[in-house]
Order: sequence, then structure tokens, then C-alpha cells
Amino acid sequence: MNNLIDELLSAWEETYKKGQLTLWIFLAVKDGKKYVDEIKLFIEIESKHTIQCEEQSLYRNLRKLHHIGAVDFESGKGHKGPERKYYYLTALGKDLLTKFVERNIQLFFSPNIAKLLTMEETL
Amino acid sequence: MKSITTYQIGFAALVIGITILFRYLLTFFLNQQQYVLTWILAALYFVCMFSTGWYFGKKANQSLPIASLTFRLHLYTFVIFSFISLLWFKLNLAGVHENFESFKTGTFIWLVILLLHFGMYLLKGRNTIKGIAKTDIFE
Repeated sequence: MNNLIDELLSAWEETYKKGQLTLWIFLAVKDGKKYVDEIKLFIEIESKHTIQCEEQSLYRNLRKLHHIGAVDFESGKGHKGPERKYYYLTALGKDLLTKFVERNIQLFFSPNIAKLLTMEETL
Repeated sequence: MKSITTYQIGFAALVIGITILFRYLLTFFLNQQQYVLTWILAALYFVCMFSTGWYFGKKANQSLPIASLTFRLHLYTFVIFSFISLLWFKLNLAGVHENFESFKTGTFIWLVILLLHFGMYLLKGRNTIKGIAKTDIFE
């Protein structure tokens, strides 16, 4: 029974996590200007290691978000070595994140849904 | 334009080099009346251009998946080939067996194909935001 639940959970999570990387990147750069390593670390820590991302994937995503104007960057010195790109949300990025959260995340905080999501209620 | 990446510049530079070499060898083989080698050279040129486009297109797409990429690579190839070939004739570098009228006809046919490709790009472009397909922006 436990094996079945683990397998099903794993399959569900695999599908669930698809499409979440953009939100985590937005949250990371909303938290403050960050370079790629810091964004990766933020995502891994704040998602409690449920979201793992490759650096290449982050670069690719950031290039696209920069191209559409949702994020921008400024060059700054790293702790060691060459200059790094510190990414931050633009006005467009902030608006986009706000609207996305309003439409897709905040509904989980409505009293009815919040009550259903409470673990004690479901157990 | 920030969507002109180093991969596209690299592709264009390589196309210039390959095309100059192609034109030089083409003239040489035609002057020697080595017609079989001319056909082999043309096939090799096609394979080289296709491989170059494939490699740089893949790299450029991984870097930034803009919808116009394939059309751009096609356009660069057309412009570079036509310009070098035109220059080849104008500078009298072409061999006696090379015909300017054939070049003009070939260029016209290629231009029609290029315009069809542009039409396909425009159709594809309707589902893009700032040049990136809507389905490719977010992951």
C-alpha cells in the first residue's frame, strides 16, 4: 500500500512540478537581486529541495524572461572571480507575477480551500 | 537587435567562408571541365550548409528559441551566397563555362522559395510574444 502511494505521489509530483520553475524564478528575483547560483540556491532551499534545477535551464529561462522584458540584470562583482549578472524583476515582471498569483495562487487561501488543505481535516 | 545572437553571427561567418571556397572550387573545376567533380562539389556544399545550419540553429534555439530563427538562417544564406556570387561575376572571377543568366534564374527561384518561407514564418509568428512561441516562453 505504501509503495503504491509513493509511486502515485511521485508520478503526480512529476506532473505537478512541470511549469513551476518560472514561478520559483520570479519569487527568487522578487526576494532581491540575485545571480544564477543564488537563484538556484533560493529555489532549492525555499522549495525544501522538491524543485531541482540545472544551471543551464535557469540561464535559458532567464534569457527568455529577459527577452520578453520580465526581468533585467545589472553587472556586479561576485564574491570571487568575474563579474556576474544580478537579475531583478522589471515593472512588467512585477505586474505579471502579481496577476498570476492573484489568479492562480491566492485561490488556495480562500477559507473553503484553506480548510480542505488543512492536514488535520483530511486525515 | 538583441535577438541577433553570437550563434547567428558565427553561422553567417562560416557561410561566408564556405561559400567563397565553393565559388573558388566551382570555377576551378569548370575551367578544368571536371563536371563530375562539379556535381560532387555542389552536393558537398549542400551538405556543409545544411550541417552548419543544423548545428548553429540547434545551439541558437537552445540559447533563445525565437520563432524567426530558421527563416533568418535561410535569409543569411541567400544574401551571402547571392552577394558573393554576384561579386564573383562582377570581378570577372567566374570561369568561361559559368553563365550569369543561369545564376540570375537560380537566384530568382531561390527568392521565390525564400518568400514562401517568409510566409510560413509570418503564419507561425501569430502565435508568438516578442518573437518567442507562446508555448516556449514559460517552463
